[in-house]
Amino acid sequence: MTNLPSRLALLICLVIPVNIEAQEQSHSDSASRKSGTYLKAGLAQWQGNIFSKNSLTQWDVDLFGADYELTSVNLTIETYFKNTLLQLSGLSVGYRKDNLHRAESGHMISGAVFRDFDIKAFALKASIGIEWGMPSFNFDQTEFASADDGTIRYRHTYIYRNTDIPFIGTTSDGVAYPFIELSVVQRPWFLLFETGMRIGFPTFNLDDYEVGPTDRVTHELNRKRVMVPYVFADIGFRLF
Amino acid sequence: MKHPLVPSLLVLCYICAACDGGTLTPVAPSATLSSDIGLVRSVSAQWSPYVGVHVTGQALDTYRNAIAALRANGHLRGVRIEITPTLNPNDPVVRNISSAGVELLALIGNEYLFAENIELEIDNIFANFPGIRYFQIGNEVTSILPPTGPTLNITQYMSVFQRIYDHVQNHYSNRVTLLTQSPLGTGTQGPMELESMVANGLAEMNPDNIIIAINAYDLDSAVRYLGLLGGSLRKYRVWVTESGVRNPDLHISWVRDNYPKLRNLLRAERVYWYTMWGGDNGQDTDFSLVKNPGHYPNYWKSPLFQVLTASP
Repeated sequence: MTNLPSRLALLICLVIPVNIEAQEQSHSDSASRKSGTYLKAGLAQWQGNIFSKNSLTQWDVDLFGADYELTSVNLTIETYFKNTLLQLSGLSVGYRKDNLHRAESGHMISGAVFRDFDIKAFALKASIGIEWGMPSFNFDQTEFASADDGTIRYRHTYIYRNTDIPFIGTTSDGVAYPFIELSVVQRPWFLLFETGMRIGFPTFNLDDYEVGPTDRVTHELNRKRVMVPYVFADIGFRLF
Repeated sequence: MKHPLVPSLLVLCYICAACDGGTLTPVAPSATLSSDIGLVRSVSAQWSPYVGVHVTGQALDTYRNAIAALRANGHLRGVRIEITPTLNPNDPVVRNISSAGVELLALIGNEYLFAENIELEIDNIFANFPGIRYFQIGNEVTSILPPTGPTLNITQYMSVFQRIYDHVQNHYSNRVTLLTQSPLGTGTQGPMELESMVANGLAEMNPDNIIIAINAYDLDSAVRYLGLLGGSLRKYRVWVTESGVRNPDLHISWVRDNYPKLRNLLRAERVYWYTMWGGDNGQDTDFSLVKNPGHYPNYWKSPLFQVLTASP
């Protein structure tokens, strides 16, 4: 299930920009900055092992062999300005569905501004923005251990829900956190190809519990901001 | 083709195909089920050895036999029973469960919540059941009440719960641990009720003396608790006091697929399977691990029960 989208993402990342590069070389040389609004769709691939490693910031770069994997699809509307505005080249609004097996969670909306830099055949693009929504519960994990005397110990690691999703559920079931993104973009004809990495900075709670045989409870509750990266590949077309 | 919609349509098709809502896989009853070592091990690894039992003398022999079979395989440590005003403290089912070495969680029935002197009722219950440590105060209190009788909202429930909590802290602080009522196990009503319980003082009670109880019959509902459990109720323990699925062919996959998710999401120390026997007909019957106790010793055993009582 996770291999097909991963391979598609990798294929788009590696092959398409190379092919387009040759076709677009002369065009980008002569053209001035191209404005427009694009609709993009794409795949994203997350992996890591943030629960069992000591450091939550460690990211396993073994693309297809990590213990923890998550595949997402996204849909984004992105506007490129004709001229830079306050040093910005454009802005985007997107929706991402994480963990395609579950419908009730993993719905994230994002808003971002970006600056791109033309480098001959392609553009380098740096973005900064906010993600908001109901996160995938792939980020929630509890590990239990029992002792012979009946003591139970467990560590619960999960994204800290710090905001409300209006109209549904309780007042603290959503998250909002900043992200940065670095990508490579090509916009030949009316098309757009983009691949890169987004790094989110959600806050995680890392809570340790110990329940003794007489129900005496001790906790150690910690909270820290964690880098959660993923790679993505998008294809888009110009709306207007 | 000026605006090719193919990429976005492909993505949408992919989303539709992939969002299957975590469909469970039926595991049909089969004579060879219990000899499938891989299946037995995978289910045993995820099973939580706690089950709800309806106290009724009709099933005494079957209960005794089923409990012994589960105990023999290490798959039963605790049972949840309901204490009603008519329950005899010497009821043979309760006595048998206790004498088998199984820990009891006593659900104090919703009808007690309307008692004028709830402290006296609690004293009597604790005196009648001296061996029980865990007492749950009501269950799905806004939905399980006689249609013609009095009703209760969460504010009123929390007022009663506060009285019981204070009484227990003053007189039984080392002897008893209280569990809250379990909110409704499906939809968003349960999480909203728990949020209302927090607003009515729950989070001011000592986490050493309170366990948050949740009934979890679908993950859609369970994920709605996460903000509360990681926020106001972060210091509290959680037990899932009812879970399961109303289809014997899906019992195994419910345990194998959803028990680990409930532990991960809710940090649930325990998950109680809803019921050992929910009657031979009616809406609870298909949650049953065993049925037809009148046919003892040839009572019906669910596929899950067969797997749990098979030696790995």
